[in-house]
Amino acid sequence: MGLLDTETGKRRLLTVEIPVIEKYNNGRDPEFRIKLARVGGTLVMTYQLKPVHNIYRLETRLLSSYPTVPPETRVITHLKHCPHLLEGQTLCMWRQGSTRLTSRWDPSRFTSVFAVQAAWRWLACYEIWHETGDWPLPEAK
Amino acid sequence: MDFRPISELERRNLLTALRGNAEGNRVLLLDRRDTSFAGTADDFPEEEVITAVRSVPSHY
Repeated sequence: MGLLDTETGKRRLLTVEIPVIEKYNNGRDPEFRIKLARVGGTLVMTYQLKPVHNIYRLETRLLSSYPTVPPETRVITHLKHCPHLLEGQTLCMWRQGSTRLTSRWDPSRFTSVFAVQAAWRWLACYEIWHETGDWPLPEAK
Repeated sequence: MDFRPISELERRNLLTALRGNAEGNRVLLLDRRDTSFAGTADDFPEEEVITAVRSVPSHY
């Protein structure tokens, strides 16, 4: 049961997620805006990010268990295999079992746009890794 | 996609910005129109946070 199935989920969607997505889209070029669609019981955000020169197409899925579990983000644009990249080009961004607080998704503080921002930072790391072979941020604990 | 590599200067600037952000003391600024990197700042007004990346917690 999640955003689309429960009163709590619908309230979160209407009062938190949709307003923050609208705010994100405000003043942004159309091709860089977040588009939201329902696919079964999942909400899918599609968007593009451009950390420096290259434009990446991405998809963030808010599963039925969202926001208790973090959103899943994958890059649709083809990437070279690199650290923190899982099957299907899904980005490895949060570890709920981590002992480090900053490695965990906190549903009381974060929104789906946080996932977009985290993806931007991941792609910026990827651009550096692409040139140097070293991931620029510390490894997970 | 024809990958366009970042220049040495761009790499150095981005690396410094990312590490400052990861340490929690720098905000990454994004161009509002196309999300491209636009520098860093010490802080940013809450209502404008959507155009910036605070130290977003993540494990990578």
